[in-house]
Amino acid sequence: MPNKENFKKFHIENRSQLQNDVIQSFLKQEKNEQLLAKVLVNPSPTNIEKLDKEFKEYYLKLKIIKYISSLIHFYTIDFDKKNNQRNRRFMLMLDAPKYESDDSSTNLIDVQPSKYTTETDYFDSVQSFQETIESSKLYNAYQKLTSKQKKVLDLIYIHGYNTNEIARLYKETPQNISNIHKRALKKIKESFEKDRG
Amino acid sequence: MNQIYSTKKLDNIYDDKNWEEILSDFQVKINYNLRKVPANDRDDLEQEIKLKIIEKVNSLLEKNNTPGFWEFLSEK
Repeated sequence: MPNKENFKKFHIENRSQLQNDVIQSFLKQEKNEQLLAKVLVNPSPTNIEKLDKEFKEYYLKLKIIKYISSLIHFYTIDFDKKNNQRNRRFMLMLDAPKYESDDSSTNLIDVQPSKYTTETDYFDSVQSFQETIESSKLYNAYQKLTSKQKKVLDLIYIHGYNTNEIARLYKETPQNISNIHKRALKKIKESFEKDRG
Repeated sequence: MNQIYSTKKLDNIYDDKNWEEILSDFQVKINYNLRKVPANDRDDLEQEIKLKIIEKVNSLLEKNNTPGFWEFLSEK
């Protein structure tokens, strides 16, 4: 049969090419294999063209995928390098190392003197409750407290003592301190309510 | 070989250059690579990669120097 011979001839002539990964994966698709068979059975120009076109599209798609994959990979590396370089060149002043040759982790920002850098620093420097009052209503209410009540509020809210510790400080009972605390809060609350009403 | 197949015809690999689809084909790969850069730069990088992809796919489609089946066979 001439068809079979064509088939054989084609496979012998192109044995090495048929080992190629691209050709193999192309022919693995049934549609393409049938196209090739059609060409070998009936090598008309239309059939040849059809196969040619199909392969061209297949190959182009492979090429694009391969190309773009490596593009993404290398572009990421490039981008990262570029960014690192920029960050090194235009380092924020205070992030730079303390000494130029110094590669230790001490940055300029770590050695800058500052009065109030953090919240904690700020509250550490506050001595009494009165300093933290911002509302004039609260200030007026606070002024009406006795000095002992003020002191207890300072110790509780500014210095963070608990009732037992304050009691030891004044050599009084914790219940008494607790009462002073409660009365102070009540007084403030009442003066707020009076203000409103 | 012959230039029977114009670029126009080859475009239908990615019909009408449906960019959304093309880009989503590569999204997994992009996401994987995004994790290699600091979180701050990820959005920038993603945008730049996508721009680059569009640029390159366009130029690859325009070049049209892909070999046909017979050409490929005879080349090897």
